[in-house]
Amino acid sequence: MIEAAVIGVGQTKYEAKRRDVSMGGLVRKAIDKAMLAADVDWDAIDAVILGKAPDMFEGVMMPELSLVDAIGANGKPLLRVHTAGSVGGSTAVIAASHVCSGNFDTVLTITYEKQSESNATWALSPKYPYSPHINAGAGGYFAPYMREYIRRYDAPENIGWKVAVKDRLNALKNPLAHLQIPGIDENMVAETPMLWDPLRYLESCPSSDGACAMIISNKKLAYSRNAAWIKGMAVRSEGTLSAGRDEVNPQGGQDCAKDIYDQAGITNPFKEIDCAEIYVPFSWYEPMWLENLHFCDLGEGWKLTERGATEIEGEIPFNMSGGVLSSNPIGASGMIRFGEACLQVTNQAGDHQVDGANVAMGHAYGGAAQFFAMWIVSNKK
Amino acid sequence: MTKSSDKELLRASFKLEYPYERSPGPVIGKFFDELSNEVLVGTKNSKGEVFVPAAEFDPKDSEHLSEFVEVKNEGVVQSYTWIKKPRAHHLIQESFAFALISMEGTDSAMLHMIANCNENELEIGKRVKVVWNEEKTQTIRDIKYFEIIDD
Repeated sequence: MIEAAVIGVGQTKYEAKRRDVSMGGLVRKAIDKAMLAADVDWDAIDAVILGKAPDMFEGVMMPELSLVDAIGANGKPLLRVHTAGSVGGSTAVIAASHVCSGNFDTVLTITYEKQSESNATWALSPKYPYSPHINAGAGGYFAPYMREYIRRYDAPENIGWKVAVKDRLNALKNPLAHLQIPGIDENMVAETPMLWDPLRYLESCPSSDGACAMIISNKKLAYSRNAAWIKGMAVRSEGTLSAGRDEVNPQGGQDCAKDIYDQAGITNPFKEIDCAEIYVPFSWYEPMWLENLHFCDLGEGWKLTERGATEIEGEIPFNMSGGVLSSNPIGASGMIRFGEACLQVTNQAGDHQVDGANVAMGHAYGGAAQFFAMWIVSNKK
Repeated sequence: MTKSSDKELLRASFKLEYPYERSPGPVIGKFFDELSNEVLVGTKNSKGEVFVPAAEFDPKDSEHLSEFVEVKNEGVVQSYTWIKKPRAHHLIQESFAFALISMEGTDSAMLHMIANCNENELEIGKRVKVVWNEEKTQTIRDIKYFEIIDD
């Protein structure tokens, strides 16, 4: 049984360019908010776990070392986690594992990206000898997977537009969200340029600067606080181009979800999970993940989206915060999902709160949809 | 069995480079900005300790530092390493020292260079002063180097 709970979540405002702060200053804004929410000071922190996407994104190698003073790691154990786009989620899992180990009462975990200091898309497509230089960017890489999903289940074109609209309408209820597009509708999305067929501009995530931090503790601190108890957590990996791999419905994602449901005693996720923050950087990933994470049968995901099941008032709200489609500081994007799940079950999500949310899921994926991290949180011990 | 030699195995060289931009923020940014005015600023913590170069966070207890103090352009050598024969990439082409210099009235040290002296003149504890670069770039190179203060 997992004996760990999130007792504080802190997030910066997500924006295209946070030129007003240094990297340390950005990270620290999220930490200060998390510590305030948790009502703890530095003396309470026993270890610091930092995660972010590839160092090439900002051109600072091993930034966790130069950030020691900003993240309060002086004299404390410090560990860096790196698992591509899923890193925000796997960092949370590693941090919680430290608490579960019994060696640490309280752990600070922090993730960030300051994408404005470079152009991340090119850092994702290095030109190496002996391999083709695809130079596609993440959207170009995922577009064929979405094309195959659409073909396989005969999904109508506007499903992607619907997801894009739904998440941006949710973002209007989240003052921290990067993209704020009042009046967005399916026509507006459909009229934006085709970036990576079948993906249009507004069906894609933005490039953001931002940080997200959490304080994870055991019952010593969590009992006296508004805590989100971790009921199940797991990570999974699989190869990039291995024979027989189903990129549309990756085995790693299925297994990871089954694992956390088993740990949390969940047999029917659609009924038993009240809301979920799922990593959807491109519109079609909502129906794809609905199926991959066992919220419905194969081919039924787009129908749930179509009938509004994933809207904030729907049967299984997805990405109430606006999701990755509205804010994408890559290294932090996974942890934002995990942290937002905690805010929901502790009734701290503000205008994007789902009424009566008791059990929520956080999810992140990365690489070529091959690295996964997930957790289930509840307001009950 | 024949031993494979290097030339039988393929290899290819490649160059990897990307453009970047750095935002140093309000504290470190002010330090560099003031260098172009030939002013050295540090930050002061609640215990009255001063850090030059300006630290955004206290290196010991991570306290936010935002109180700026101007310090004199003179300091003391904490330690150094003598570069007898500089290589092409060094910024100074005559013998010089890389040194940790604690500016007067501060509780930290900064890494810079000491030039215009002989190795036997330099020792730990020696007093040095800033020599400014005429051309200012709002970088640490606005300090050209340090030189020994004659007693």
